[in-house]
Amino acid sequence: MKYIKWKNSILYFLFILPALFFFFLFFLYPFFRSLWISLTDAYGFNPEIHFIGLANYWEALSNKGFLNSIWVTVKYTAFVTIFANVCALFFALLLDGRCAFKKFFRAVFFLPNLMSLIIVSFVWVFIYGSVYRSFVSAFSIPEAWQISWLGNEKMALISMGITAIWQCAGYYMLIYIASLQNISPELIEAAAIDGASKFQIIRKIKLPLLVPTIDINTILLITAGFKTFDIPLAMTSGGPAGATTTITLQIYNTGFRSNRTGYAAAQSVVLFLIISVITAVLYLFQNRKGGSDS
Amino acid sequence: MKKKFAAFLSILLVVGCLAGCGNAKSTEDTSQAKPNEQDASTPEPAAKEDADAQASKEPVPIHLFHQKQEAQETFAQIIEAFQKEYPYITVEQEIVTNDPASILRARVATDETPDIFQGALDTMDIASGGYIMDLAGEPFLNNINEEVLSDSSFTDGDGHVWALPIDGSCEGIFYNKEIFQKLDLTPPTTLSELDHVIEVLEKNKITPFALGFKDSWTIKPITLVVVSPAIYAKQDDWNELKTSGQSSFADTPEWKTTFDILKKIYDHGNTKTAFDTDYNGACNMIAQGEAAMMVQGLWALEPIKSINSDINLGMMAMPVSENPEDTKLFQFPDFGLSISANTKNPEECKLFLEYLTRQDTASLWCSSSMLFSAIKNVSVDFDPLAADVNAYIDSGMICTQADRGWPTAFQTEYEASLSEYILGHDSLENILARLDTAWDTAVKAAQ
Repeated sequence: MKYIKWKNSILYFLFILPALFFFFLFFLYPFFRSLWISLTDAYGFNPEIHFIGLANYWEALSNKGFLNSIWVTVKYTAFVTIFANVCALFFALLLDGRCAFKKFFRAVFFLPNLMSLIIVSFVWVFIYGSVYRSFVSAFSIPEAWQISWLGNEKMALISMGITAIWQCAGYYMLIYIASLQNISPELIEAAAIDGASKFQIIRKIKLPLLVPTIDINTILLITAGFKTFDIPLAMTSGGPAGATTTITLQIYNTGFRSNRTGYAAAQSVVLFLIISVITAVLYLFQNRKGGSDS
Repeated sequence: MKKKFAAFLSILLVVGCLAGCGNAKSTEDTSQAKPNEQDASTPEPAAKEDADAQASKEPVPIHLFHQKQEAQETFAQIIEAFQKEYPYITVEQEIVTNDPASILRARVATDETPDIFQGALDTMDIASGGYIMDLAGEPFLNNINEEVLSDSSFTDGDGHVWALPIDGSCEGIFYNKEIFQKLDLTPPTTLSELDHVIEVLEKNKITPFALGFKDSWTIKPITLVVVSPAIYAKQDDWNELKTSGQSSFADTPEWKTTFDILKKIYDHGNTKTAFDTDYNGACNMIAQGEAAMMVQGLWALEPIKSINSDINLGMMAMPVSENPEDTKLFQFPDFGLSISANTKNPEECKLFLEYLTRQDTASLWCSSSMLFSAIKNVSVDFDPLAADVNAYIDSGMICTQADRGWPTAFQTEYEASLSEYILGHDSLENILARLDTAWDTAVKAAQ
C-alpha cells in the first residue's frame, strides 16, 4: 500500500516536472539571481562583480528620486483602483439589468482591454494633444479654462490614470457582471415584492453579495497599478520633472540608462516586497471577513 | 471538409518551409556572384589582378551595428562601393533605433558583439569592460582632423582611441534670420544683448524661444551650449578636477549661470505649453515663424526644413557672459564606430574604417547626413546655415567638450535635475549639492 502511494507520487511528480522545470528556469532562477545581483555593484558592461552587502538598499531608501517614484506609484494606484472599481461596478449594474443593446455595450466597454497598452497610450497622447487642441480652438475656450493634460505636474498623473481606467474598466466590469448573474433572482424578486426600490435592491442586496468580487478586483488593480510601466513610458517618459515616474520606470532608467544593474536589482526587490506586503495584508483582511461567510 | 482544410494547411506550411530554404540559398548565391560581376566590370588590369587575388580569398562577413536610421541609404551606397573594392568582404548593416544601448549591452553580455558598432554615449563604458579594440596607431587615423581626434570623447587620457570619429555636429541657437532682419536685430554676443533681443521680440508679440520639453531630452542641450564655453573652454580638465574633489558643482559659479540661463530661456519661451509640446512641436514653432529662436543640435535642421523649406535659418552661439570672447559654438564628434575586441576579422574591419576616412566617402557621408566632416580637407556646404557654423570654426570661436566625459549614471540624474529646477521643486543650492553627490556615486558605480 505504502509502496503504491509512493509510486503514485513519483508519477505525479513526473507529470509536473516539465512545468516545474520552466518555473525554475524562468521564475525561480532569475528571482534568486536578481536577489544576488542586488547585493553587488554589478554595472552595465563591466564583467567584474563585487559583493557590497546592503549598500544598494540603503541608497535606494535614501534616494529622493526613488522615494518620489514610490509616492507617485501609490498615488496613481490609489486613483486607478478606486475609480476603475467604481466605473466597472457602475457599468456592470447598468448592463446587468434589462437594457437595450446589452451585449453590444458589453463588447464596446470590453474592447479597449483587447488593445495593447502602448497603442492605447499613444492614442491618448494624441487625444490629449492634437484632438484637445483642435477642440479648444473650435470652441474658442479661454486660456484660463484650458487644461494642460500631460504638461502639468498635477494633471499628468490623473491623465495617465484616466487612460488606464478607460483601458481596464471593461475587464473588471465583466468580472462584476459574472458575479451579479450568480445572485439568485428569487432574492431580488422577493425584495421587489416587499416594495424595495431599485436603488434599495442595489444597496442592500447586490452590493453586499458583491463584496468578495470587489476584494478580488481591488487586489488585481493594486498589483497591476504598482507594476505600471507601459503607460508612463509611452505617454510622458516620467515627466514633467519626475511627476509620473513610476517605480518600474525608475528601475528601468537605473538599469538600462544609468547602467547600474546592481542598484536597479535592489530597487526591484524593494518593489517586490511592497507588492507582497500589500497583497498579504489584503488577503488576510479578506480571509477574516470572508471566514464567516464560507 | 475539416480534413481537407487541415491537409491544405499542412501543404501550405511545408511550402513555406521550402520557400524559406530557397531564400537563404539565393542570398548565398548573390554574394558569391559578386566577385564575378566585379571581374567583368573592372577596367584597369592592376585592379583586376588585385580583385582576382581577393576573390580567391575566403569570404568574410562583417556585421555593422548602428542606430543612425537616416544614414541607411548612405551606408548602403558606401558598402556597395567598398564591396566592389574588396569583393571577398560582405558588410551587413543592422540598424536599431529603439533602445539601441540595451540591445548592444545584451549582445556584449552574450558574447555576440557586432564586429563594428556604434557605441554612442556608452562607448567608454564598453571600452572599460575590455570589449573594444584600441585603434591608436592605425594609419587611417592620420586622415582625421587632429583637433577632432584629440578632443574626441572617444579618445581617453592614456591615448587609447576607442572609436573612429567620422563627423562632427554642433549645438547652438537656431534663429529665424527674416524675423531678426525685420526687427533690426543682430545675433547677441553678450548676455545683455540677449536680454535686448528677448525684449524686442516680446514687444513685437513673437515668442523668443521654442520649447519642446515634453521630450525631456530637449532640455539638456540648452545647458550644454552654456557649460561648454563657460566651463570646459577654460578648464578642459574640469571633469577630472570634479572627480578628484578639487572642484564641485556648488563651488563653480558658472554652473549657477548655466541654470540661470536655462531658467531665462524657459521663462521667455512658450512657457505655459512647454511641457505639452514635444520636439517636433518645437521644430514646428520655429519653422512656422511662431518663435524666433530654438536651442538645439544641428540634427534639428532637417525636420525644420521639412516643415518649411523656405525658412531663412541661421545658427549662433549662446552668450554666456558679458564678454563677447566667451561666445563660442559648441561642436563635437557625432558618429563614431568601434571595432569589437573579439572580432574574428580585425583586418577586414580596419579596411572598412579606412574606407570611411577616404575623402570621397566622407563627402558623400556629410552631404547626406548634413553634418561636418571629421576627415581632413573635406568641407561640405550642405545648407546655407553651414556658412554660419564655418564662420565660427574659421575664427576659432568653437569649443568641443561638454557632457561626453560625464559618468553614465550621472547623465540621468542631471537630466532630472534640470526640469526640477525650472519647475521650482528645489533651490539651486540643493540641486547643485545633489549633482555633486550624484557625480560621486556615478563615478564610484562605474569603477
